Amino acid sequence: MTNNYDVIVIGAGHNGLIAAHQLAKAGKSVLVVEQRGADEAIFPGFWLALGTDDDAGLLRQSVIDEMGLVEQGVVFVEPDVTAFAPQINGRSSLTLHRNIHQSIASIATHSERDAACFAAWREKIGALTAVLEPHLHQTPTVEQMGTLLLGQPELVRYANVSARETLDWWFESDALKGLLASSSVIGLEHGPYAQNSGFMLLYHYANADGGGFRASRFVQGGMGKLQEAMVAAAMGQGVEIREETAVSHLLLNNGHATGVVLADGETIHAGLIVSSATPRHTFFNLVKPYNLEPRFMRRVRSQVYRGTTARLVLAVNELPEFIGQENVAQLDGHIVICPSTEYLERAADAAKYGRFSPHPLLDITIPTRHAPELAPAGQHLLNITMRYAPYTLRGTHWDEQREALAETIVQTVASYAPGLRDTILHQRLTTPLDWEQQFGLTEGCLHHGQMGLEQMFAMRPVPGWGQYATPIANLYLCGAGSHPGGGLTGLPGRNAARQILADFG
Amino acid sequence: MNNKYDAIIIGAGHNGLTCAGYLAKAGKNVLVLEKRYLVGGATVSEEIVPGYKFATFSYLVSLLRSEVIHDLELVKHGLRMLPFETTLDLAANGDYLYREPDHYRTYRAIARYSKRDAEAYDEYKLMMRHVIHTVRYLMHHAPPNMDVDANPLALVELAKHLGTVDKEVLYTLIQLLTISANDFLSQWFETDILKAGLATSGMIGSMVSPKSPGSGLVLLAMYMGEIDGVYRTWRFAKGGTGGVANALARAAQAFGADIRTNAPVAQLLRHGDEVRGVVLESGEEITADLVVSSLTPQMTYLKLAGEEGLPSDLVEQVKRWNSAGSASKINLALDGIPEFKAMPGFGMHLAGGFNTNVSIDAFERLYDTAKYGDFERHLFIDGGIISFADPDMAPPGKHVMTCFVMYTPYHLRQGTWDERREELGDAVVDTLEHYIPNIRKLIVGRQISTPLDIERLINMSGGNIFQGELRLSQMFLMRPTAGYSGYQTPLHNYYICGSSAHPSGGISGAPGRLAALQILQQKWGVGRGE
Repeated sequence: MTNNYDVIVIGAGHNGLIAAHQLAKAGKSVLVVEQRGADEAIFPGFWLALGTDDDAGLLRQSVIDEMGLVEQGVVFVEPDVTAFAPQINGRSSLTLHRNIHQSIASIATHSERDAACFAAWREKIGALTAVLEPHLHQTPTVEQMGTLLLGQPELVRYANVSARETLDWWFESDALKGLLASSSVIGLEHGPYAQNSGFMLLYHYANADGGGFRASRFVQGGMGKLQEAMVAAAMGQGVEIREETAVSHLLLNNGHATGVVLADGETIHAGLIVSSATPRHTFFNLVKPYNLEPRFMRRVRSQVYRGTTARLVLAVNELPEFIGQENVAQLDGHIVICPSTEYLERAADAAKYGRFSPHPLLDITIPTRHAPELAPAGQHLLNITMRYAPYTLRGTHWDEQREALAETIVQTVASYAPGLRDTILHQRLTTPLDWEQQFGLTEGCLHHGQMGLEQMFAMRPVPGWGQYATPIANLYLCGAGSHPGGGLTGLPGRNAARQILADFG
Repeated sequence: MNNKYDAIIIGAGHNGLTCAGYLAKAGKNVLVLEKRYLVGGATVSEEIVPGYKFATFSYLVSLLRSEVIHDLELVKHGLRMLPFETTLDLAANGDYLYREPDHYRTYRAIARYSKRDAEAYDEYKLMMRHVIHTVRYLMHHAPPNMDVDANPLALVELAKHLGTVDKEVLYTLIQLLTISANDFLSQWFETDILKAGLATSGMIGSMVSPKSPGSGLVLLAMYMGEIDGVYRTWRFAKGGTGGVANALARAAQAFGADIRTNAPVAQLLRHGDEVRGVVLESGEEITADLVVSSLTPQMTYLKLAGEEGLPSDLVEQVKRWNSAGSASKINLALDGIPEFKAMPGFGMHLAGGFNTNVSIDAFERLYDTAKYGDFERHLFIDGGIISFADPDMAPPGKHVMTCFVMYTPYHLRQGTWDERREELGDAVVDTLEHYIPNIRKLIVGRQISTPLDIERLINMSGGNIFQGELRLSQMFLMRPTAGYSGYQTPLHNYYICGSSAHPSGGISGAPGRLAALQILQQKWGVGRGE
């Protein structure tokens, strides 16, 4: 095994693999080092990649094409139902379909007025994301931000207002507004009443059309298949990948990164280091603050993470049945518990004071609907994403609150799917603290830093360093902490590799 | 009286009067129409309790542009600025922080909590000073109206200006456009009462909390203050903010403008897309070459002009204009001197401002209650005993306290402000008593202005004190409406000059001035404009 490469990529997440693939394709010798090993069974007989969302709706076509993922065997599944929002207290449920006309029919049972303008709303959002999209594919600059700010007032308006406000402009039905607002808070600690949540709504609509729901599609066989295909594509270009290989720190020479020192003491040299780890981990732990200017370190220290997402995976011996559910196909997409924007805002309120709400936002997917092989025959996995679970609890600790949170989530689902409790075989909770400890995600923030507008574009991860380069020569960032941010877009990795190739030729 | 004017200004608020002053000074024949019995709009002083003068709405002056003071010779016309320099931040648990002009005393006050913060305070203030110097450019320049002017030169100039700015400062400025005040301040500080005390500037008149994205922009806007070139100073105008309005009115009249009070305008006199004057509620018609509205976009477009003939995208923007107020104003007539529990006895702190219930968490709770349409009983009050700044505001030995109260939402979920006005007044007194134990027995009269009252009395739609929330998508090119930003409306000879125009609210006179300069240039070719 050699110990000298052109490039070492730290982290074999999707962004790390995408960057590695691009650089190898350009003729560089690339090593990817990954701290974790292969995924083990989540429960006996059940398989699920915990570290990722089930949904690949944001993954850009350019990445799919360049890596040849379809050729590597990835099959995308686009179920007819994109979102199902069951309701209690006698209100009728709401279902969004990939075919927008079916969505409109379901909306009409809540409000004729909302049904009448839903297509126009979707068109409006589509027009705005079309303006936004090219900006997500390039290295951000201050000039770019200025151009958007001064030249695209309508985009600025929809991005700057709260999701609640834009939804109130268009709609009256609580069920519809709640369901749509649930896409506006992904990556934020704030609720839908907060300014700039409108931007996250656009961000999550900026790819594959979910028929009025956000960009959404699944992978046949589960997300593990996507990861395998990315690994195969990278290795096909000659990328070496070493698992269970933790980096202790970077090797620096005169302010230049020259290699990495592994946890076991081994040194590997490279002309370029590309980190897909969070910016805070990269600079605090891998580079070390004393190698950086105090002013820069203040920016790094001030970067906001504050993860608010927890995940509960349930193994069940039969599919749940929700109140108001008419057919089993309604379980194919996202099942969203968010009856109104106020419900969602109140859930966010609790997190501000270091608590989690007894009435959280739940976004449930059932991966076994698209990948029955992940579970024994007839059994299923429920992948429940919960907000808001604050990383920092007040007056208590996550070790003491695990049971309570799991119970809150089960209780909430059970109130919408009354038979659930009796079907549960296993459960596994991942708190924000677990994300940090098991996946190296600073403060449990899945997006490597909040997705607030103040931390986007050229301001991501920190003002002045939004172009993937860092103050350490030959050290670049390529993770979700860089533009355009988190979510499985593949764009940070792709943009970073392209910037590196532009900088080094 | 002359019945054909060069220009009619609707509304005698400080911006309307400023605009009138500039137009009159340029030799134009100007008429200002005011619906109330006195001039000033939101800058009025009124004797509600006999012997006591209340600054009915606004009470402090710091944003008033030096150019306006000098160009309109406001000092000659009676403008006097009195010191109002200290701030006492009071937390519910008894903690307090007293900031004053003396650098070392403030340093020691902060160092009681955190030496690190005391050191960082200088660094923070220096950074803010640099940021303000950068932004001040906008206070002197009308936004280029992309559609009408097709004037990319103004943007080139702006880009050139920003290009000269230190990168750290520029990034800090960009941050402030969308960040929360709390996240912004946390870059320097760790002490809750200091962060919360500074964050109050990010909450003024707005429906945001310290942790709300967007409160940084309000903070920035409130830091724009200067008095005669001295940065970041608050002052009290002799006679209250009505003193500012009176000086502006006297200046405008001295330059030849007519001002009519008790003259509410019902609608514009329109001939197709051309505006030829106004119709008063009395039925009287007055013609003019042009009409300038200093009112909110809702009043300017929907009520006075009417939707007919207006572009549909403009109407949509106006209907979506966010101007739901959250601030109320309570004025108290006092029989004696209030005594603060935190700082008993006599002292300079009595002649400055104070804030109650100061803590980030407390502000968040107040905001949480307000955003669902209610108000808390223990409130955040931005107060001051203005009779210490200007003893003429009250009889000898008596005092006037002004209480600017945040998180009292325009939209109440239960009841109406007419039903709950006194409940708010009681909550204010209860809150004050927590910090000023002798307050209750001193009160001899009070005046309560809820957001609804502010809307009713002075036509501030929604009661927002800035004629529209200060937020990124309601500033600069988008204030009040994208595509129609400058001061010209799509209707011929119809202009705007109020706080809902660039560079927005606060008693700056800047929109009024910039509007007048643009009108003079566009309509009459006077001056090179800015």
